[in-house]
Amino acid sequence: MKSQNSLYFVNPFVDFALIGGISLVCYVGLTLSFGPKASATALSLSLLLQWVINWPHFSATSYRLFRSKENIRQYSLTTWLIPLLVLMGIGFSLELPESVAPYFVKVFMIWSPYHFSAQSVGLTLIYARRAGVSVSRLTRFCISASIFGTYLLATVRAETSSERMSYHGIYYPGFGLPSWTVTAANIWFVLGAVGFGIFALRWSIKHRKLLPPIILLPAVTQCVWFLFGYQTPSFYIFVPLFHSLQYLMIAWVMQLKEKQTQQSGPIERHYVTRESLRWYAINLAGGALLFFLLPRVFSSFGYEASFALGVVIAGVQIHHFFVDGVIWKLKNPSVANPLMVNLSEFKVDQDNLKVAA
Amino acid sequence: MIRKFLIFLFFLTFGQSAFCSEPYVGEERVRLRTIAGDIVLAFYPKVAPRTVAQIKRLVKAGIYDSTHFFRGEKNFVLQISTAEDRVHGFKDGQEKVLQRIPAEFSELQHVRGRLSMARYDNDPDSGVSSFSILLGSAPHLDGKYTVFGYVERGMDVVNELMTIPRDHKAKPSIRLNILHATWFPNNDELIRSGVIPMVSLEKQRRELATKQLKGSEASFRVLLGTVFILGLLSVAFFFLGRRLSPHRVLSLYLILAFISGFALLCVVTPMTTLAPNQAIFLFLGLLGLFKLFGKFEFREPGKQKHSGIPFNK
Repeated sequence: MKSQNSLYFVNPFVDFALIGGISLVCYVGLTLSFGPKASATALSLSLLLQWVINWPHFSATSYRLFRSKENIRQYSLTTWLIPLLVLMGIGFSLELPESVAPYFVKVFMIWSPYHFSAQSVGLTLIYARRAGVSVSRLTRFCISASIFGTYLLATVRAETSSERMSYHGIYYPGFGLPSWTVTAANIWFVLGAVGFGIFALRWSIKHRKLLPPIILLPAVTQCVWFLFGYQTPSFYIFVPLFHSLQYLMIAWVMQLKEKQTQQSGPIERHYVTRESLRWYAINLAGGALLFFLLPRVFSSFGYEASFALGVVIAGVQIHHFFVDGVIWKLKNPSVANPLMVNLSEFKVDQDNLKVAA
Repeated sequence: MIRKFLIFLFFLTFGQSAFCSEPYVGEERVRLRTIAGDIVLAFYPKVAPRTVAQIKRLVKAGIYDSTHFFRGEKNFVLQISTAEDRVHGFKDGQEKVLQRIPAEFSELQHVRGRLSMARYDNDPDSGVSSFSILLGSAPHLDGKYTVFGYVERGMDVVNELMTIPRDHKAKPSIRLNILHATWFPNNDELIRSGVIPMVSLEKQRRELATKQLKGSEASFRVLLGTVFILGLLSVAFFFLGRRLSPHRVLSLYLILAFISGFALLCVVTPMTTLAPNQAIFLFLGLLGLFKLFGKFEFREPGKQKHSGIPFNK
């Protein structure tokens, strides 16, 4: 039986907090505290949190892909060819620091916020589906246009400059887009947002109740991240962490659901806690391996440490974008169905177990 | 007769004051020593006394030394950067002279050779140190920006500075440095000190061209390497393609497209500085590739034979 809170993965409080609530509270707090000034404390905190939030989220993707033979067979190209491709990119970048490395970093820089946006669109559609809200092709287009519009606007704003920017000492160029592209991106975003707004309004009038706010939250959060956040540098450095929080919550619930389905016997007590800790520990170690150890392995071949770090981190992230795009397709029922789960379903099983005992 | 003569004199005087475009020019001069020679500036202290006093203060404090012309728009302006954009940091006390000055708008027109104080669009009293040399008439600036002087000598130097290629934001490809700015109480002092005539920037232009050529050579090597890899992969995919399912073949071609796209990015991006329209195609192409990758290793649900991840019906 679906419980009342089946709209949420965990419960309203946790879902709201991790999908965007924490981001919004932090934005207000950090803007009021620091305004346009960068805070050294915030920077230190974000670097610390990378170890426990950001890096494990990258590891969670690789873990999802490589953890079973069935997955490796199903996604054989993603498993074998993509790492090879990324390794080639890293190799070329390390060997040609002037003519390849800047563009390798450039691809990462353009793809990263695109990837954030794709996740926000996915979250919006998942929550709409969980709420039983049917989304037409046009509405889906408006949702995508508004969310990707924030990405487009922020990226185009930055790319009108052809100034070189530094990432771990690797100077990558701006595209130098004409300034009218900012206006075009603005129009695109506004049209998408208006379309999404009209859909929300029409749905609310038709059903005589408000569209569940959690459906709108990813888009609002995305707006804050990309359109307002950059004015508060102390907030902006946390954006990848907020994206990772969203990801970890979904990947965690999905992992639990799949584990539960694989279990043939009865579920033991504290199953959720134990399985969660095991999964998190693996990803914690995997994150450290990818972002701490791997760059050091490459720099041991004689490449300058900061340069190798920049190239390898870009490579790891590009690999993550490739893999994520493959393993999280909502059109794939084997992905979409487990995403309809709610954590309380595990508790129900435990309660049954207790009664049976 | 005397009456007619007086009337003639009156109209002559009136005409001079009403129609004369050149107001009183002060004795003092500023010499801007640039990488292309010296530019000598003269001022209108009666039209814009506070602005002229500000420029004098800044030059004497050495504020303009190691600043540069950051913007050059043909037939419009060549603009000096703000003081914060100096190569050398501020010395003790230098920052104190950087004060905002109120606007001193006048009837003087923005025509070629004149100096116009820069300011923020929405704040008339925000001028500090940056100013422009007019390269043509700009009537839309009249009465909105403070005109405070003109280039007395060195418009050929200005023209030479404008020969350096600029990007679409009018930023020169090399830094057009102002090496040193000097204040002179009068023209005689200036002449005694000497003025360097226009120096050709041919060497800088050649260096820039060589640099761009080297960049394109490196890019060409990347392109050749990529074509080689693509060739090898195409042969491999040709033989593999017969054994693989259509969605895997599509995925392999997506990889080829991605490698080609990346090679194009490496080769074309350096050229987009001077061709912003190319940048649009490059940017949209990259987004298109990201979007296309949604098809990577994806089989339509109806065609799915096997799924590694458990299904929840």
